Amino acid sequence: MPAQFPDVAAPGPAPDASTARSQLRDLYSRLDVAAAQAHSSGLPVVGVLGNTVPVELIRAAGGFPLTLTGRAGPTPEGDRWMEPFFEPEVRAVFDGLLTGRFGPLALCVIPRTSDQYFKLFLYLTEVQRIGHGAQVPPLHLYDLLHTRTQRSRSYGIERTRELLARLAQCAGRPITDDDLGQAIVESNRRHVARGALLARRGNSPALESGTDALMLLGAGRFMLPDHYSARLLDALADGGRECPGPRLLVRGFPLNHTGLHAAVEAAGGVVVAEDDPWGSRSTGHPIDQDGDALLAIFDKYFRDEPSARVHPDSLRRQWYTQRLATGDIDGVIVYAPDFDDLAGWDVPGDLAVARELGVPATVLRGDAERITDKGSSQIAVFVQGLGHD
Amino acid sequence: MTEPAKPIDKQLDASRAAAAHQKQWFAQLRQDVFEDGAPYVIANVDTPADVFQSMDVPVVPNQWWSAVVASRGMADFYFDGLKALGYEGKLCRYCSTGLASTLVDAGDRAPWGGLPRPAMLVTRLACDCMQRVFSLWAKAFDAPLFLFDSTGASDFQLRWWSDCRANWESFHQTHRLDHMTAQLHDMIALGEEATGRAFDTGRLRSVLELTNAQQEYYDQIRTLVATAPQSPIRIMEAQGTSMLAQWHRGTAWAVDHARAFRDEVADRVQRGIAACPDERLRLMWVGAGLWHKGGFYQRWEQSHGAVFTWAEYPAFGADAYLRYGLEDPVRALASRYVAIREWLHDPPWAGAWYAEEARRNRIHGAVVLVPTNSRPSSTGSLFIAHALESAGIPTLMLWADMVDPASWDDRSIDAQMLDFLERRVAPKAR
Repeated sequence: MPAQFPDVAAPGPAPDASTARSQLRDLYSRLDVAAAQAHSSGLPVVGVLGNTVPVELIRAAGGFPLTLTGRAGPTPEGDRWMEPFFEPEVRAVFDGLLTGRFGPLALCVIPRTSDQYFKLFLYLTEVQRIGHGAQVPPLHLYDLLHTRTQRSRSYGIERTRELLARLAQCAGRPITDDDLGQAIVESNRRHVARGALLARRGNSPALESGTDALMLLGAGRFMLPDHYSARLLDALADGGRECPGPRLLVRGFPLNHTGLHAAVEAAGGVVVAEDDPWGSRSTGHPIDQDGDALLAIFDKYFRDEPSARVHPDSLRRQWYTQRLATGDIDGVIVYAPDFDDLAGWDVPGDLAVARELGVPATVLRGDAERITDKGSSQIAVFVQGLGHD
Repeated sequence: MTEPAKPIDKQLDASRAAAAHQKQWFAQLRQDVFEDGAPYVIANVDTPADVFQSMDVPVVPNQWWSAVVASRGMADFYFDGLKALGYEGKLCRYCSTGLASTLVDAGDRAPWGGLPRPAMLVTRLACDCMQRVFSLWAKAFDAPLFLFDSTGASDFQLRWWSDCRANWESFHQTHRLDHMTAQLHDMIALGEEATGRAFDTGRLRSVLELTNAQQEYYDQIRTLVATAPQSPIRIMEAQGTSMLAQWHRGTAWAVDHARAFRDEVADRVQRGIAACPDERLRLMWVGAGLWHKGGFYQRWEQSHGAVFTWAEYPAFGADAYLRYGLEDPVRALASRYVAIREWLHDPPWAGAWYAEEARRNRIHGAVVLVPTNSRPSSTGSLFIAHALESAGIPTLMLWADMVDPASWDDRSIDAQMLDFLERRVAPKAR
């Protein structure tokens, strides 16, 4: 029976900056709280994986897009079916969907933008088929392709229309251009709010710690866009706190936790930018509000969202190269953990870019979420060697 | 450097003929490419090499080249070299061996003297690392690269091995087949430009007809093996032989070879020849061949009468490559590649096929290779094991790599095999 999507509730009264900051940190850190709050909104919750599902369509349908993620930990149910070499996040989400940890989802949308996500979709479909997936919600594969040809764009637009139709079916009503337009406006407001946070990090010295910035940016994955934008602006009303020390950029495997940032701060440095969708790349460009709404939304995800699919390597490194070229980065940490089989292919090229631009760089191989003494020591030596004034 | 791999003890004339042809083919390739500057293409195995066959452009399959490198004991050398270049960690070994052989200078130890610059490279983005590996490779050669997007299935018809031979149009989701067909036309256009050779639809159709004839013989071979009282051949020998010949599909030689292969197997069946006369336990091998450990498969024949009687080839050739209805040969060929890799590895398709084949071949136990350094080849393994166990087939999972000997521990593997054969397979067979 399709879920009926009610109207969006308005944000509550504004808290002070400190309270707003605590709320955002809490949502980011406690995924169980995030899921519970999503369900308490009264809206049908649609789970999404990663940053390449056009959540504006879910908003246009009146749903709550909740990013499904997870951090390293026991995954006993998932271990029955998923080989141990999958990334921690994918393992955690698989286990969470098998056990109903994310609550009752009206739909779960999984993008084709990484191989691991596609396997996750196939695995979930299979456990349902063989009778072990009672808790698994209805699934939808969003088949966004990897090349950037006009042909794959056309293919992607059609898949986007299919997703829209599926969501309309869930909502029990057609989704209009006005609905889409509203969702774009909402997303662009979030873009502006996040931009204010990123501007603080661009200040010298940075006015946000790396750990706080990552939490404040990431919390938006678990909230309705307008609620989030309001809370984020509330939190930023405190004027900021100076964070001196060497300024670092992190590139490589995406970080959905603050382990690496905390280790940098413990060493006296501050991460001011991440080339990943949980950090500085969570904004990108605003969505075009003037043209065809569906196409504008699609193109945001087709052209602007970072992911494994981006090709060629010059395009994949474009943001990284431009950010280093601004001259306000003292050092780069390239993160290629042991469980990664992708970011590692970019490491020599990433180091070469840093070298060309005269920025010191190091490669961190261990798991940054459970950072070892050796890892901490490597970071400390690197940060302290940067000699920031 | 490790020792060159011990080869499988060959019993078949077909194997010797395939090896001789391959050697001759590669010598000719070197002559044509090195001496005469003729174009050739490097392609991953899950891409439609048949197009280049129809254009008389030779193709070096990435995985075949990996096997050549591994079988010459050079894998460790190249992986160490990759590491020295900064490519560390658990990066895919199977698909990057060829890249390593280009990036790392092995001097006069390079197998066949190393690959020369190809006219173009082709791969399919079935896993994320393919984009990286082939981009680096194309850059190293300064050669054009064609990437096939790999669309995702959201409709799950199970019996691809029987339903896709003739009814491929209705088997696949139309938008996926349309997209693969369009991409094939794009690849053809780039191929014509890069190689200077013209594409002809009629010629492709002829190639696909020859391919069908070859696979039909493989279908007969797999039936002979499945129904004979004892396996007439060592299946890993048959796998190696049919895979070698598979690289030449679409040629008259491949058809003649497949026919002779079929005749040889039929003759052995008729004369009651068994690969291992003491065959008591019939084993299935799931996964790519162990290129660095060919002797592993015969190791259990004398001690336990345990014989590997099933492997992916020649069965996969018959089930995945045959295409009837060649009025539009480009679209028919596209239908082969829409999901070919998923069928072999991913749920629900892979497990269903292996279970069906196990039943058909009276298998007593299955050994699943899970190469942890090649995730695309190892995902879906737990579902495959589940499907086999659910079909009543005891299953052992071996976590090791097919080209990286460093991942293989004889003592540990032997212990697992002994336990598996004695505790699970033998009682079941009784």
